[in-house]
Amino acid sequence: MRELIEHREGINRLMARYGVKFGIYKNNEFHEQLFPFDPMPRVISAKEFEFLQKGLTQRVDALNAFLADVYGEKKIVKDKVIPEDFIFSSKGYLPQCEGIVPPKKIYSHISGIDLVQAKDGEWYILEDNLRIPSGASYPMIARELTRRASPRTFINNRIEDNRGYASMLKQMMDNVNTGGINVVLTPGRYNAAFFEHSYLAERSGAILAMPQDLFVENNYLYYRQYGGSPLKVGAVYRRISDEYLDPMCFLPESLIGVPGIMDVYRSGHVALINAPGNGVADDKGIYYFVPYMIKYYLGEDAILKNAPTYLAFYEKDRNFILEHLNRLVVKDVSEAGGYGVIFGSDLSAEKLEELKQIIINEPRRFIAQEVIDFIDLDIVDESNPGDHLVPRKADLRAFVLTGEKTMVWPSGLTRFSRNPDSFVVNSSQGGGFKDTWVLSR
Amino acid sequence: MKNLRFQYEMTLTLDREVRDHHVLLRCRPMENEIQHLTSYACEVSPKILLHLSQDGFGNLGYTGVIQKPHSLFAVQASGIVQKIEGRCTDFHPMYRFPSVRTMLDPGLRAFLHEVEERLGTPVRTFQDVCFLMQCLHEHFEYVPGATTTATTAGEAFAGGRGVCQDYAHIMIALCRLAGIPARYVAGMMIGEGATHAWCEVWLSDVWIGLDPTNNCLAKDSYIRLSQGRDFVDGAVDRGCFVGFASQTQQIYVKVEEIEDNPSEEISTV
Amino acid sequence: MGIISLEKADHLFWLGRYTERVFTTLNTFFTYYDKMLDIEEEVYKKFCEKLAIPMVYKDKEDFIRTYLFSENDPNSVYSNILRAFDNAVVLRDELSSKTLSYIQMALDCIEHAKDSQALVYDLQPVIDDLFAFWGCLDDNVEDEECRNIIKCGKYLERLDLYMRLDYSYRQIEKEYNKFLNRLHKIRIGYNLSEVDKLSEIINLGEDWKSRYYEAINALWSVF
Repeated sequence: MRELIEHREGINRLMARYGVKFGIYKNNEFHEQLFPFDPMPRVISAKEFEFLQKGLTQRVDALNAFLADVYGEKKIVKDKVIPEDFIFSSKGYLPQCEGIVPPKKIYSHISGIDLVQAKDGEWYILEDNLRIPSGASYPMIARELTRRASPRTFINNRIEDNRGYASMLKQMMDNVNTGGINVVLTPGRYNAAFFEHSYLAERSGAILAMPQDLFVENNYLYYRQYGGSPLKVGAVYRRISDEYLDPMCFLPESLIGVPGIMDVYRSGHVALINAPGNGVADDKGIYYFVPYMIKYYLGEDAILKNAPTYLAFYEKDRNFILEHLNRLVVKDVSEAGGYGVIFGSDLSAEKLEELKQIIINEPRRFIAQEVIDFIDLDIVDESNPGDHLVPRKADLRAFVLTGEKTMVWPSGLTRFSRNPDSFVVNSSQGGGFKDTWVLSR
Repeated sequence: MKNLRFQYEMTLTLDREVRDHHVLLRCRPMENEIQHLTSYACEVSPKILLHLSQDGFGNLGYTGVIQKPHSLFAVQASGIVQKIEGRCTDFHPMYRFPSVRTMLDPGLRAFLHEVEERLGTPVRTFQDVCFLMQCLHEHFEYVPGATTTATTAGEAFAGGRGVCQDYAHIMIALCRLAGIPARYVAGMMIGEGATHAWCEVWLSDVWIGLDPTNNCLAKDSYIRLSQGRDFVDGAVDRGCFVGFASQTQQIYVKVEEIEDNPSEEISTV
Repeated sequence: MGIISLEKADHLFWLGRYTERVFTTLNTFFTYYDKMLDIEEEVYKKFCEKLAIPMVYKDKEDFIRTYLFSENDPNSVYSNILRAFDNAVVLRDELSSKTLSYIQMALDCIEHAKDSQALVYDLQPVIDDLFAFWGCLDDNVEDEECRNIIKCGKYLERLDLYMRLDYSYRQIEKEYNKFLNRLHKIRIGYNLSEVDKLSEIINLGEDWKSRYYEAINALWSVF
């Protein structure tokens, strides 16, 4: 470990060399920043990973079953397991996708599940990301560079190689490919995650495509090739969000979409990864119901726990929230990326009253959770390097891929807050990242 | 049973040439429990290959691309629709909830409250809904040009003036607020003019067509082209192109009743 | 890979041009910089004249800082490496992360040299990185078409710069042949009559200079 600390700067320099960056918009200007990397990994034992693997596979299988049900028969609503309000008035629910059966009936091919570990060792699910979860490229390249900078570490520890993510990705794409090439569709180089788009394309052997490279003809999707005839596209790992994907179906003003792609998809002539409309299953409101989904679709009890959550929508829960607001964390279900998260303990008496009123007026909009006292991970102190370590809040984004079967990537993105007093780990809010090691035994 | 002969003409004029123009045309009447398409023809210019598809709302649409530069696009559709006695029962829970153009609004809330006070009960039954429609019809004025296709129910209501689309949006928003599912329908009605919009409400497990613009039931003088939560879902045509041009759309619709039922013939050119 | 979109072909071509522009102008700058130290302080004016760069620089010092590092000067080395980078960064899947990293390093090197007191010394890695980039390209990029497009851009740019910077006829002829060789291998449409005109001028031997402007114009009209 000491060797890793010594190499912190060297590894970060290598990251710069390979352009390991993410973009942010400040005052309408695009800036690229290095994603600060801390060399001390999160270590997960083989046994613990086996447990997580079971829990995550179960969760993602249930979420996929839920999505198929929502856009199909809607049994879970008819059986009154989940109130209609949380499905059909959700922003993520897209009626345009009603009746579409995606290739191999898979909706969430790549799921990013955020977890935290409490001080008592228990893991809790924080949220599911079933639309365009990003971040897998960072631990992948970090591992590559760490192995170069500190080979001894990998001789002395038995660590699962995480660089197989690219071939997992390729297998997953091949599994749903309807005949044609695989492409990674990026909105362009001024997207926050452009590095990841181009890196995953390179590693998985898919073609990195810009929207203007793709077009629809006779209900098939093609890639416009230089000096040759157009190539049929069989699978699109698209990094463009649903509403911008097809101006003929969603936002008409979208300039980064591929007109007509939804018709091709509906006809079963191309696979879209992930399926449009998945937002209905990863909304902060629907989160509450995931354990019920697991029971309903799989007949099993949830292996991984949700953080204790209250839905302002239910009167009983609402009263509880209003009474205990000062110790709860309130989340706006329509926000993402660490925005719209309010800690009751941070608010003045006056602000608390204001928040209560907002919750009473718009109960469907909010959930409240107990603040989990999650364990801190050590990071190398940036202000005082050397071997000085300081504790910081960190979460884990696990990547779960659903192809022929559901598999958990033996690694993950560990994000940490660089601010000692903050729970917010998002890169867009200044967080850093660590590699996640899964031990082989 | 009634036979309606219709004619639909749409001309899109662009002030500059555009290319890669994608179009979606919902000018083919839907077939369901209350209407049957017995003959149909559709022609577009410039001539392009059209592909018929169905969307998540059950709407049929022709899609196609005009690749070459052009500054005019025209559609001509005609046919005969047979209106039959039947019950539309294709319910979907999404019609319970507010949508982009029918968001909850304090003005609408107050209006519903006022109507319910006059009624003495909450709006529940078919008669109540008809009363609500009548109140809206009296309160709101038909004035073309006062609103746009982007106007929401709340905005239109606050302005007090609008066209069929606004009547439909307001009626839908009010019904959903009263707990009655409602949906938007676009189509054509008997006579000569433009396309029309009305709504349907879900009462006793069946969709009932209401035309708030004319304060009447929307029955066998109406031809349904498309449906959705509001105008955004149910627009009769849609397009996007490459080029900077502003467009002018002209629509001409003619629907008339005919006596007998000619032989079946459905084609597109 | 072997699958390139029209857009990517365009990026490849311009990547070739901009990397060459940075490489040759920076190398030439080093020579002029040396003269500027104590031999001929105002020689930078000749440099600008040859490359048709507008004389917007106040003095020698201003020229050195602005021409090398300014992002507001479209002719600066920095602007050119940025354009090279912009074209490269969208080609990661074609070029590989490894190849791309040399452009990134050249860019970072220029950014870090802004306050340098030993310019030639501190900017030397830019030249090294560009050499490495070209080497890596030859070694790592499997697709021949892809390499041909980059090289077509590179030799076009080089020919243009060599003609402007008074390189010997022998060198110009050599670069011309390299350019022609790649031009015939790519599938981008070009203007044959301009190529013929250029051939005619180059074939004049040392006398090509009598038709200098015509030659430059023909070269620019090839695509």
